[in-house]
Amino acid sequence: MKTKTLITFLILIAFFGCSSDDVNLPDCFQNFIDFVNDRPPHGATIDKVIYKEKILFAFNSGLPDVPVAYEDEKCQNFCSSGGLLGETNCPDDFFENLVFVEIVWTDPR
Amino acid sequence: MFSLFGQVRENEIALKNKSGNAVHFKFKETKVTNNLESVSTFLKTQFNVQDETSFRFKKKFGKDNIGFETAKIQQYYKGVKVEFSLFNAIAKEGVLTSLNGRLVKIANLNIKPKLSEEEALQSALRTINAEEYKWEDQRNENIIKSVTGDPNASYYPKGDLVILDKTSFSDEDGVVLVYKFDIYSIIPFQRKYYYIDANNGELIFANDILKHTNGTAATRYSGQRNIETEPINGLFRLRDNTRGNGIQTFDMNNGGSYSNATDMFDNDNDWNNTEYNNINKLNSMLDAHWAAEMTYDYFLNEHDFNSIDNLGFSLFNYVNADLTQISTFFSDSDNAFWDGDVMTYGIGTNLNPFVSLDIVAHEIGHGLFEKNVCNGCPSFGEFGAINEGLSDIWGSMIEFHAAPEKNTYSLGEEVGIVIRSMSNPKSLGDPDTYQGEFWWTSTADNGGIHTNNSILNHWFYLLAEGSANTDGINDNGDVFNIQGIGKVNAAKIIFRAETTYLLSNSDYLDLRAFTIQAAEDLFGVNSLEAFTACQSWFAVGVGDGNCSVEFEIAGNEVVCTSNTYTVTGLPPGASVSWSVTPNLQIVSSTSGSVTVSTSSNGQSGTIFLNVNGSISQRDIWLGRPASASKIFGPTLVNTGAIVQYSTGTVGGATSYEWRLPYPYDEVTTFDLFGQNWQLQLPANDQQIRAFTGYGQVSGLVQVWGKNACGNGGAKLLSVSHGTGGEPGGGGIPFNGFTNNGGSGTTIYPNPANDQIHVVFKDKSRRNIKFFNFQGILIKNYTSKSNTLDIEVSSIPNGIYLLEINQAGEKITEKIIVQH
Ligand SMILES: [Zn+2]
Repeated sequence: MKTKTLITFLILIAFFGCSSDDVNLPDCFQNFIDFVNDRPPHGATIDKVIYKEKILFAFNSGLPDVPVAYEDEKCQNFCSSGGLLGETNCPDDFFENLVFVEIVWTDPR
Repeated sequence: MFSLFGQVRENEIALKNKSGNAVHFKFKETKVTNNLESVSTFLKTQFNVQDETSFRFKKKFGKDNIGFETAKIQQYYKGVKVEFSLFNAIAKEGVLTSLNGRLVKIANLNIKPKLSEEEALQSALRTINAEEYKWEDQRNENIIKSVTGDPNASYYPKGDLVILDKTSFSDEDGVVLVYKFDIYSIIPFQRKYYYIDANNGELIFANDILKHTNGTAATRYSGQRNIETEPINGLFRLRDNTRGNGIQTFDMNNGGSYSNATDMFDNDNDWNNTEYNNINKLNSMLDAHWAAEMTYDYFLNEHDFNSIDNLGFSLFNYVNADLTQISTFFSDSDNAFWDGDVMTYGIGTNLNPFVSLDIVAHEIGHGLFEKNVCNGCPSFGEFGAINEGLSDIWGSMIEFHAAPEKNTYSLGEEVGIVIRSMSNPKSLGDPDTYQGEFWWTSTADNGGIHTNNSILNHWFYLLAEGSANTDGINDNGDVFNIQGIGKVNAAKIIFRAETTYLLSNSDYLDLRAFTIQAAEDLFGVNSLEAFTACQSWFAVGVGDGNCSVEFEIAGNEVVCTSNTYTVTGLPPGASVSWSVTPNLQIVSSTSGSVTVSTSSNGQSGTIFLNVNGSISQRDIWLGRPASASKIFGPTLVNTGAIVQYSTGTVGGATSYEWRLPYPYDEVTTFDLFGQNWQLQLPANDQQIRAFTGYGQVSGLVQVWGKNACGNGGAKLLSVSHGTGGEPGGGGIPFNGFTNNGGSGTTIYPNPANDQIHVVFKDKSRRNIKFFNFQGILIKNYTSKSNTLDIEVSSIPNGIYLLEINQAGEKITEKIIVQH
């Protein structure tokens, strides 16, 4: 488990371009990865996306009834989509204007 | 208030045990202060025990809700705990009012064990000899670490050295130094404390830990229900040890920490509204516990499946969670989820706690999917929609199984919102036709898995209930009329498709094929269930409507005036209708039979059977057969030959009748020297064999079809022997027959056995010579008759020459003699 966490850190460090002595992950990243690591693997991902020039991160646990959360770089929730109710509180034009940039993290397990 | 004392007064002893020792004191005059030292001193004095015996708090004095101070005090001997020797001390205003418990008097017991803990454990395991233990499964190990919050927690047994008084469980006296192990085995499923003699490894006593009892629960959404609970320390908690490897329900206490989740205890196993219907929504715990039990029962009773993995997988409910504290990507607690190990239910933010029966079953349904279809596959797109649809189906079927009075086909209504309608998805803006209106195309909700699952939901609804309560037309304009096969059979089909056929990349078209296959496995290839599964997919826009099932309509092939036809194997309650072609009339009908009449002859008619929209048909013949239309065979035949004649199939004929040129004989074996035509019996089929005879009779070959109503029209074929006996007609001459051209002479048979018959065209004078092949004359005749028989029975096998001289002309024929 320790090894996996380390790999996770390295990927994120690379992504944020931080120096090796600066590993302050945004809370939501670590929170999400902790949530994922506490459970059997389901192909979880964090994607970087852009909606109308706003950079967002899509946290997708891969679990059937867990919503996908879109949060900004400061971990402010922009909107969520999914869950047992299948509801989304994202703007109406959100998904048609959503531009995928890159995969930031995938569950390495 | 401290006072010294010796023995208590007799009237302060409320109860003695069988041996006459006091086990319950009710203090009147004796004053014992509510501290450990005073109680210890009292006990030692009262029972006259030495300093080797000591006492420790198991629970320190604390006030209960009516002002008493209570404590639990444990007996020790030389620092070793004495099992079951626990005292309840009750005090008021600093002084004991009551003390009850059992003191064990021990003298000269050696507390140094001969066996190590591990040796004692191995001895216990040898005695138990279980196939599988709880600690051998890493998943269980992970769960206990998670539940306890202790990374070192394990089910691996740890031994405690204790002293066991045999009188506490038997009639025997004596104390034994033992190791006490909590040993939990999966196969067989049992968990006990094992007390192993610390000196010789013998099993002294085993005490069941997994106890259960039936309690009553006032649930939040489902009224009063029976639940299984576990008694523990005089209380009860929501652990069901009777189903599979157990169902356990924990309270997240409106928080997000699994390690802080707690058991909920009840004192009398009557979990009532007064206690649990409160601001903390504690009665949600009862719903989740009961619903998980009902889910377990459904899979076991209806599908013979032991929990979600058929191995008794433990079901863990984590109830009343504040989901936003679990992870930031939950924006509220209006949700529930399966996470690969356990179920977590939100306490509700705008809605009520997410623990309704159908939601609990939905989440456990995800567990079934993971254990049987794809472990850890991300839920996305059509595959994800199938996962959600299956969970909705199990939600509805388990709800029906345990609470049929509820609205079976609507999901989640009790939490304050109808999440999905399986009967009418469009009423909630969900699609009822594949890629039709409301079909989700954006990537939101992982590709609309909670929207497009309505295709599967509605398919199931149509399969089980039929289309009577729908508009009977989908977004493709396809009209359908489906008679449902019922919930039980529909559920069997989808359960088999899910657990046997579904793959990690399956889409709706695959699932269509899998459900039809599953229905064929369960109910037969041509079953109505398979047909209805197919038809229901067509109704939701998946696959074409090319579904059919053939029922066999039994009855006579031919109807002369009227007949009755029957069908068997119709499903109960099936919608059945009969119809016929215009040349038939229906006299009467029931679902299982139809009586038809006709006045027609020589034509076919058809009976149609419509069962739930699937058409089966039976073609029958009306009246006498049609006229025979063709005879195949030679019109010019060789004399003395075997020939074949046949006719095409004659409509309505059940047999055939043949005639040959007259006069002819009917034989079973041909007389190969006969003059007449011969018909080989039986001759009632489309093909016959005939012998053309030596009489050179020409005439008609005739055939007609026959059935129970009479004969059909005949077909005739004019047949003659070769002109003037010329060879080359139909049929292979069976016995050598020489038809000597212009001379008009017939010689037969050839080869010959005993006689050679020679037939001349007239009665002229002739000289006939018979030579062997070396040219030696053997016989010589002069004849004025038109026939001559030559005796060859006594001459050797071989080739001979017959020479006929008449009117200056000589003809020669080769003759074979063969005996
Ligand atoms: Zn779900």
